[in-house]
Amino acid sequence: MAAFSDELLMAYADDELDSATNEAVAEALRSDTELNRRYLAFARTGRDLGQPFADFLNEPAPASIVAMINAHETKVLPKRAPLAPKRETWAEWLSNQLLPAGGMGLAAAGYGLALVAGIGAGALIGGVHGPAGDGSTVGAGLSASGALASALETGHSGVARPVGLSGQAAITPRLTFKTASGDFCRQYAMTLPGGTSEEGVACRTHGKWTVHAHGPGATAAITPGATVPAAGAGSALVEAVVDGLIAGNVLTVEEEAMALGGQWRQ
Amino acid sequence: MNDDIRAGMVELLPRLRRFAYSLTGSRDQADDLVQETCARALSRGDQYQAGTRLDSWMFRIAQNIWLDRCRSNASRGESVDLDAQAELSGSDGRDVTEGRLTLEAVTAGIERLPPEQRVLVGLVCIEGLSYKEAASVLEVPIGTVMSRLARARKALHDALFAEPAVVTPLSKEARHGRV
Repeated sequence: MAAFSDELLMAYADDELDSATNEAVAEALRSDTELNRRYLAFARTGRDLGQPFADFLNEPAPASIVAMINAHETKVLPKRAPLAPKRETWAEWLSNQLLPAGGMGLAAAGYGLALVAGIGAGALIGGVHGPAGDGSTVGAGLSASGALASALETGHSGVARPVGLSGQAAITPRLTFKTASGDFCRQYAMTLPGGTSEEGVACRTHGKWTVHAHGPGATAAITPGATVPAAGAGSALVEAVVDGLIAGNVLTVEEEAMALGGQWRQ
Repeated sequence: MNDDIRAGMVELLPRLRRFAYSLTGSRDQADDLVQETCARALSRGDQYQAGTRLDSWMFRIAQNIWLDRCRSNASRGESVDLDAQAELSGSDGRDVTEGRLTLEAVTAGIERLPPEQRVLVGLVCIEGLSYKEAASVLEVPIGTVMSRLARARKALHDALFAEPAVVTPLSKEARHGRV
């Protein structure tokens, strides 16, 4: 009996063989029950396994994901300027500069934020105002005010600023960078009572901080009764937004201090 | 990234969700994976090579993210050893109704495979990619695809079909699993 490997039998079941080999296998299967027994495992686990998954093709895609793709389409975010031959990514900078310092902004610096819901902390902290009711969180042109605006305007990266009388909430600017047009931008994190977190990125234009992306953190409830586990989607989304905005390197601690001291004069 | 590619991404979302579900076994986690995949694709649009298949590129990003996540979970003791062959008892995953497998049964069977094998089952058996296309997505030789997929399929069969195998020659219909 010719030796037929599992791979060959599987390829026969999947119609992946040339005609001559296909016929050879078919001929053997007509008389070899042991070969049929082995072949059956592949015949039963072929592309028909996809049949029970067919409903996915008829379901509408999540609006939040379509909106995220379309947000890039609107060109709200400026194209990244030509870069120096090698620059430190904002994520690398964050790891190198902020992680050793510890502090509350750091837990949220990891993966796990899912920016798909509307702005929640804005209502709590009085920080973000704008057309957030539709849940759009990218490139929405929301303006920061109150504690958030204050933290962005005067806070040093990596330093948590308590918010409210209870002291259970805090805002932590994480890093500062400039856009191609010279505007300053800051990525920030919020921790809220109950352990939830939010994060976002805002840029300073004409003396005001405009939020370009903002959403709930890893433990924040996205829908009633459901909690999205740490998974990295939101962090990747923030990374996408920052990558779209940033031109050049993240500001060093000294550069940021100069910008703060100079009231963000360009 | 031009508008055509972004439109292609939206068009691809149903298939991407199906693939993500085959990996995660959960709609919430599947949508989460799809979102992260799209975010990463948008941020790295300059890496997409015009003329290549968008679906292959997106599937590659999705499986990379998911495998990284599995490894991260494993390093925290939250998941299985990636190198260990899953033990398949053949009981939990079996749910056959009138010869047709349910979504729950297939998902349960796939979930018990090692992550790298799950990716291949998802690409070939669920998404219908050819071996060559799957090899392109994973950037591995086609022989690797075949050997890894064959191991996965044998284990999956054991999980889904507990009864003794049929030992008579098969009809044409049986070739496609309609037995």
